[in-house]
Amino acid sequence: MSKLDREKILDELVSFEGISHSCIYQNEQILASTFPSIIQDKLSGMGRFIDKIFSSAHAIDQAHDEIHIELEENTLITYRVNDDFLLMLMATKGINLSLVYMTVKAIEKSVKLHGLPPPKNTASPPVPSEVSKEKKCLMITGKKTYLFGL
Amino acid sequence: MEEDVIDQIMQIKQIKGFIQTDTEGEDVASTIEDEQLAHFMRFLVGYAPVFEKTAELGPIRSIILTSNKNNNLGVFIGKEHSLGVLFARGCSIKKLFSQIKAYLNKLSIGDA
Repeated sequence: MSKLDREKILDELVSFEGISHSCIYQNEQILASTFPSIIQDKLSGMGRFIDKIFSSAHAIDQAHDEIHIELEENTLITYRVNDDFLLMLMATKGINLSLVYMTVKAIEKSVKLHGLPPPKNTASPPVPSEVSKEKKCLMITGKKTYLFGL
Repeated sequence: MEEDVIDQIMQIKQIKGFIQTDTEGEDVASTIEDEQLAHFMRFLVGYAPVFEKTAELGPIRSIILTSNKNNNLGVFIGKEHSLGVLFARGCSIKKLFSQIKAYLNKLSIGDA
């Protein structure tokens, strides 16, 4: 999943009424975020915390893939997408959960199917050294996309 | 009074079990037979303050986990007691939780 794709996903989510911020967490890192800068440095810690809850649930054979942490004013909703990355959303308590759920399911499917970015130019014959670099890069990206869904 | 409220919560059709713990994570009452699930709920209650410290977003009222394969579960964090609830998947979380909270307001759990 390219940077642009990640931002597109987050933009789509925050366009819903009731979602103020969203971010993508994977491997102890925030890959993209619309949270305000004041909270940015807390996000990876929050991601680690939530990831541990998912891991603990899975360790006792519970297949939970959605967590709602209800705060005073808002709810932090996190989805585990493709057993791979976390989608964290700050939402109001009255949000339409079905709308968010279906959007996340569509994102999940889309990342699974179209994880690899399309080749830039399949028609022109590539220069060998450049190609091997690009392929290597694509293979790494592809592996990540396939294995980690990104 | 507490027993009455818990009985009322257990009367809610979708509720499959509950565990009530004190501030030290000790069981006050429980109907959850799966010991691993009970441990997990106690873990969530104990883990909530860690998140509060990390996130600095204020106190956590509840944590809910949902699944398409297992029963859903939630913990309501209170000052003196916390309540873990196991409930059927597919039911309306909002509706169910507003029902539970209405009862919890009678106890020292939850203030929503």
